[in-house]
Amino acid sequence: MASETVEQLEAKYRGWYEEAGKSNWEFSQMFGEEDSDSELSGSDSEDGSTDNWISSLSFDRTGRYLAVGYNCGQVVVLKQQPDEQTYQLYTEFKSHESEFDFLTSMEIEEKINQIKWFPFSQHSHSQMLMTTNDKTVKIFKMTERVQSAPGEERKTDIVVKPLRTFEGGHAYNINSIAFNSDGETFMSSDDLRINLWHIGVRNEAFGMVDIKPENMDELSEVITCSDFHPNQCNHFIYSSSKGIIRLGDLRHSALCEKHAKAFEDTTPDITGFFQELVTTISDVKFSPCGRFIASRDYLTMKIWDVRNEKNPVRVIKFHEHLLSKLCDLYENDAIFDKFECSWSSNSTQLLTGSYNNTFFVCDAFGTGKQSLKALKPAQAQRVGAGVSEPLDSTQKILHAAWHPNANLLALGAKDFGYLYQKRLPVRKFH
Amino acid sequence: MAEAKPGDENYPITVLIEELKNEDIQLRLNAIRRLGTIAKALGVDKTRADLIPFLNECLDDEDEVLMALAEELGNFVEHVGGAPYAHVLLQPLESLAAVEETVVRDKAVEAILKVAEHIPNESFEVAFLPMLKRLSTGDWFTPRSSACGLYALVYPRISDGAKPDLRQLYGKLCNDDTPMVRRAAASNFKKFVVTVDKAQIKSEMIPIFQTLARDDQDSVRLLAVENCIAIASKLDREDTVSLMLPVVHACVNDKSWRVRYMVADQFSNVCNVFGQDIARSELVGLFVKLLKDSEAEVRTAAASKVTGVALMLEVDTVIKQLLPCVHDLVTDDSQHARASLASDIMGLAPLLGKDLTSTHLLELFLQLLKDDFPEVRLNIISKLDKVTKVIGIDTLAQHLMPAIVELAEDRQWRVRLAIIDYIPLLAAELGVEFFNDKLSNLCMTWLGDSVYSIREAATQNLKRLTEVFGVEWAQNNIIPKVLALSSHNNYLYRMTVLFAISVLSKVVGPDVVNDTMLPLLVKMAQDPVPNIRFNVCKTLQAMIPNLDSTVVQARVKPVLSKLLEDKDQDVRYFGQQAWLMCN
Repeated sequence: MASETVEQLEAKYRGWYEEAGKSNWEFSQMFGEEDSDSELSGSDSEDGSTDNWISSLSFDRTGRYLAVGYNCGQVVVLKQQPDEQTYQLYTEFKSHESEFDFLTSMEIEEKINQIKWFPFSQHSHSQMLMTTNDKTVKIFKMTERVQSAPGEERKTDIVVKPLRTFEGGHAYNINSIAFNSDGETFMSSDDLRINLWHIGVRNEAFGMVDIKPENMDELSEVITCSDFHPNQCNHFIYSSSKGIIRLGDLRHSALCEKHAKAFEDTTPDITGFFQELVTTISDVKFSPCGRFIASRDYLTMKIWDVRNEKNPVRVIKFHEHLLSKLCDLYENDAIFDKFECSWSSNSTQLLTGSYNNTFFVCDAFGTGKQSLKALKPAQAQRVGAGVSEPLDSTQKILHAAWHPNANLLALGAKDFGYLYQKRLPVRKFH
Repeated sequence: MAEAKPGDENYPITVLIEELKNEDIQLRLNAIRRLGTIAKALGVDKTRADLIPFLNECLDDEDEVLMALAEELGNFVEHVGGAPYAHVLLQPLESLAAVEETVVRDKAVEAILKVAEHIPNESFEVAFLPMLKRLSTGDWFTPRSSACGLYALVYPRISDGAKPDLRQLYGKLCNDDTPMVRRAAASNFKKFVVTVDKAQIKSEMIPIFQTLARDDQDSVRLLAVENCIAIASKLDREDTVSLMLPVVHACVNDKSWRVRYMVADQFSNVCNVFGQDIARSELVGLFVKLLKDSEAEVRTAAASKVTGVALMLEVDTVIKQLLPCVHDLVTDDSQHARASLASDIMGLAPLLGKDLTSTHLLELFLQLLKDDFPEVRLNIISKLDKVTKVIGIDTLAQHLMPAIVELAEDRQWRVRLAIIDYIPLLAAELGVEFFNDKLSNLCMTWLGDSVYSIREAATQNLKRLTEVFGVEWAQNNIIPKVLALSSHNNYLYRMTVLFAISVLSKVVGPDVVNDTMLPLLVKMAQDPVPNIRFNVCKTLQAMIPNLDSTVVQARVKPVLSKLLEDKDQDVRYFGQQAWLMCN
């Protein structure tokens, strides 16, 4: 894969895209409904509380578990059933509580910003996952315990125990966390700094990146997102509010990494007043194969070949219909929405969410761009096909995750989560 | 089970079961820590038959509890009936070596190694080999990591026929899918490889080692140097050059600074093991490269090894090749590199001898002595004796004073604290006249420092100086000045006098104590500030063991009896404590 040119990849994938295009994404499941047995069930749109809104989604390495984080600090873990189609509530726990920072007189929200699973399986009965809110990163261990008293039937208890808490590492709000492929370190990034931690050490972290200017008046760029390379322990990327993605190499030096590469598309998506606002990158991800980087900004998704910093391989535009409405979107703050993006398991397609509960599945190396609406089947029947609706920026799918091994998508739209599936086996290319 | 009563043979186990079900982790921990007692109560037979199997089922608990359990089991050999039965402990320990939490696994491996010491050679292989194979081929990375820690112990004690399999298994661990196992295999490699025969090292172990040294993961590659050293210790010179030297080369040129750091850190050891020949011909060039590395952390590590490496080289080489780098390091951008150099560079003086030190090194010392960062200056001062032995103190003395004074007046109290620590050393080097002339006032100033830790250190300093210069000197030079502080109007400084008396009374003779110190204490017992008065009691309490009993009766007790009726309750309390000491 590493040696093929982008043109060769396009040719290779063409057949796959055709094949894939023949079947549809179908609604599989919804969670967060009134009749589910989670503590969070029950729509609360009446009282306007956003506590039960989904704030992050993450599949584990095998795809058997789906962790869902909420604004209220709760984390729900769903487990794939043997039929490989449905997910059921496995366990849930309160990850973070809201705190009050006395020094700054500010409340620290309990909202879960990101969840990541430990990339190696420790045991058939236990998994490790990492969650973070604005200030504190935590690692939890989720274990299945079999209690069998003599004479009784086996009861399986699922116990979630906090293993480690990493606090005090960030003066600014944490936006991302990522495990390293070495199985012992991880990074956390906030607006201005990125820290490298060791899983076993709570009270010390190393500074990887520090873009804080000497004089804060000169501040013009903040870090928005970061990620480690899937298998190279020394490569990481971080994106900024100026639309630049920087690749760092941990081998190069100990402190304050000068970036090894900087990916910037100098052709602006639009011009004018909103240009700066829409350039900020809301999500950046390495492809599972490790050769490409996808970035999501307000209007587009861009795909970069790690080896080419000057020009993105592809710019996928799918928010053209918003261009005329940018004023309104600015008025109601929707222009600041941060959408996530997710690669398919074979690094050929990308998933991202949008407004009106729409989500897009785009061919990374082809021209295909499919837009779908996340709806319960009952609702879908009521809405006819091809009916164009007015833009509803309150219905948004900010969080989206693609199953690591299957054609299964998880989407988060306010307090409801949707699972969509495609009846098509995954073709592995590398 | 039916409720067991004390006296029932199973009572101890019943109690244990109950305690281990308790929700409070502290109680469960206490129960585990008393396992030895329980085993004694049960006797060796029942311990083997009932307790150990029961413990096998208890392995689902908090990490702290499991760690304590592993530790207890490591000491359980006598409880199960001694060496012939030690192997029964391996079953629960094997399970503990496979759990998820690293700290528990590490403790379990420790315990296994302890138990192994008791197992006789005849039964060793039967007890250990199957367990090691099971751990090494476990489904999850956790037992496989633990297995790596056991090879060095097991391999030497098994039969020759079983050895090839074991070597092969270790090779598999070094090529494991997960970085965690490969790291464990790499870090245990050096202990394992030295137990293997030279022929097999060359045919089997070195290829494995070479793969580890080229691993994708930085955290595995950086362990290569230590393994290199271990292997080289078993090879002859020719093989070392052809097989190990390339690895050292690769590490020095590695893209990752962490790998280069490890080489720099181990460079003296590398030179020692590879031998003087290779050091002089091949290694010196590599070391120079590290001293000039682009990453400050690497330079810092290398700088601390300059003397160690220089010892293996000819003086000429040191001057021509190492000194230019040292020169650059003195003005390095990184304060850590300079500090590291400062703590090592003095060691070059005895190597080069008087003349060469004066020509080449002296100016470097002086430059470092004027560095911006206190740590650099402190490091030079701390190793002063190495240099003074070679070139004498006079040249340095005139430069030392400004440096010492500046450090003594530094804004950061920890810096002031550090220099106080070196005063006795300097005093011994510089001699009593120099000291009286220049440093004595400084020592007194510290007694009046605004930071308590400094005042405390200053009093300890006086004691150490007395040990260096003698009681008479103390009597003439220190005591008068200290006692003069007793009339300061700030009570904190008067307190300092009390601490000084307490500390000095141990080293000055009874004459000074009786003639000078006691009268002062009597006077201060009437101080208006209660803190002073109760510290008088505390000082007396500390001094009483060293005082003659007649003195105690005649002079100490009267003072204390007045204080027993003091209006302040703390004074009365400490008076009581001291009074009790009198009798």
